[in-house]
Amino acid sequence: MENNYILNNGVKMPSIIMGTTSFTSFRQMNEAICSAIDAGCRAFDTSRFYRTGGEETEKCLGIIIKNYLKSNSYLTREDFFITTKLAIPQLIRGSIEKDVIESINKLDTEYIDSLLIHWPFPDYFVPAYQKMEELYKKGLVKTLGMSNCQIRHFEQLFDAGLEINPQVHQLELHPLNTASETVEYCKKKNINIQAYSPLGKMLDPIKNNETLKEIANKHEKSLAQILLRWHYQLGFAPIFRSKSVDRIKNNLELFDFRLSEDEIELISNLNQNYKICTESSRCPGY
Amino acid sequence: MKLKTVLGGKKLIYIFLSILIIIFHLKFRLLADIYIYIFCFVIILAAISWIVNEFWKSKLDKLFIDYPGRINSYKNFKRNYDIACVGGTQGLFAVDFTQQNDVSAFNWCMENQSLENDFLMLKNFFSILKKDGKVLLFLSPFANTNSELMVNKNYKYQIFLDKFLFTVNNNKKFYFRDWLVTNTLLRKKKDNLFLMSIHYYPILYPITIIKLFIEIKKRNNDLRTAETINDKKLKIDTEKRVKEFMNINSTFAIEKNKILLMEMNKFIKDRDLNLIIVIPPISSTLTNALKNTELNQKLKTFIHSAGILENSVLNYFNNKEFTNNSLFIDSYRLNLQGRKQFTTQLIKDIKNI
Repeated sequence: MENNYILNNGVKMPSIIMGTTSFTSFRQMNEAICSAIDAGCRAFDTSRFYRTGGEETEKCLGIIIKNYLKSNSYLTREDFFITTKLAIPQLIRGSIEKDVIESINKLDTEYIDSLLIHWPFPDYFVPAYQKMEELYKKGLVKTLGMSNCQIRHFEQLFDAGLEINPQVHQLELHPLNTASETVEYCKKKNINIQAYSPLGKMLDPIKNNETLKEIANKHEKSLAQILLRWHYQLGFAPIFRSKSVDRIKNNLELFDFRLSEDEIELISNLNQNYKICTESSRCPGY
Repeated sequence: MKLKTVLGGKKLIYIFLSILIIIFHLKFRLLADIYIYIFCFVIILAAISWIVNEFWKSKLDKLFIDYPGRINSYKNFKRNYDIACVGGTQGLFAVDFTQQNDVSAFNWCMENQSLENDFLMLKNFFSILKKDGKVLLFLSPFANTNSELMVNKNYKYQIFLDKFLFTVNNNKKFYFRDWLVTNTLLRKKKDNLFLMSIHYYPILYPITIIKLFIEIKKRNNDLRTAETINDKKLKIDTEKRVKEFMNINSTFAIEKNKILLMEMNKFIKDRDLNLIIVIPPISSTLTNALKNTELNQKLKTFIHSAGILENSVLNYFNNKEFTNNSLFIDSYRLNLQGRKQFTTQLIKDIKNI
């Protein structure tokens, strides 16, 4: 599976990412991640505050990748793309370098491929980004990015005078929430999109949608594959999550078919601006 | 834990407690070992606390099931509301959207609100409004007037918000939950106990929880009633409100509230929403009693000084259609019929803005 996006600083980012939340044990996570790597997935998304059976997910991910590399010499650390995020308390605390070094240690690596600000917490996200720029210059972080931002947050960031433009923006994207204005803005600014909840949690309007079912039947693919392909063809890197080995493999098989322009439009037209994650209750004053 | 589960597990807990007590009496008494007595006591206390905790929590979960901060079952939760109302008691008793099928609206008004609390609610929940949605701020001379955040009233928010504003030494405002998490991170295990005690709030706040129950029960009864207040009670209530107004009148147009309203207006505009200020109606008896206070003019001046345009204000203070005493349960709170009537008119007026 060799499908990468080239970010605005020349770094390659895989076109599909696996999320690491919601694993209930290290064993389960190990099995899922290893099967994803076997199936060609090279990008993983985590955060300091994710937990796997009481353990820090960053630490678990570090161990799993390290072990995989030991037993599979055809891969190196450089083949992987690891995203982690700074959470609101870290922004408030302000010791960004210390926190990032801690993440690097937990992930048992020498650098982070992509460092994002999880939520644009008012008054704190701009100074935090400026501190992240220093880490980028030191080579501790290969790409910088934001998460869950609106255009007004980016404008605040750009108005502050950036030295390094963000390369990545991670936001909730699925057919029920296409966030077209934000996506257009990011395109203009040459910022690549990572899409979380790419399947819209398979809510009823997606799961029971006749149009989607028809498209899936036509291509003899699952609904999830159709939706992930829709993301891919629109230039997004979907962040899928699954605990099932079969489903993980299934999700990664999206490069052997193509949706037509009409089909892309039909799926995009399902938009209802329906956000699963209500931002302001996660990030007050958002 | 849901109420059903708690009730379902009750029998088992009773059996467990009974066994403990029997052992306690029959066996350990003979041993006369003080440590065992203490151990059993702690176990029993913990078990009782756990039952009480779960019981309160399940009850509270039911009370606040609709609040977005409480959503665990995101699947059934509605988004893209047209209207959200913030404000105090008058706002709470001013609108009833249950029969309005063409608008989706959410009433976040709560008793004893300050303007700062209104803003806090908005900051936490505005994302469920659609783009260009409307925020109705119910401005009342009997509420919204205390400039300080009413921390002692915040037990309401602890239940479903758990992140009220927290001020630290350098005058920077933090959200309580985030402050808590940050501290937990800094001090590691030490603060986990504190975090747990906040999470298991009923043990920590028994009095506030009881107060909350009494308040909500009374409020729900009041909201359901279609009764009209009798003349004697209305007179007493009017006197009370006039006195209340006179007491807070001096602090009404203070600079802090004005700045707060300006900030709120900017916050709403920046998020592609629209602020509409609603001055709800009060009974004709209270209107007459307040005739000499220039209340209406003072309200107008206050709103104007905060830079709110006149076409964003819906003033029903002296609206003859809604001042009839038969529409009120007391001097300033509308009854069910009054609320329905007023809501229909309000929605019409909003559409015309």
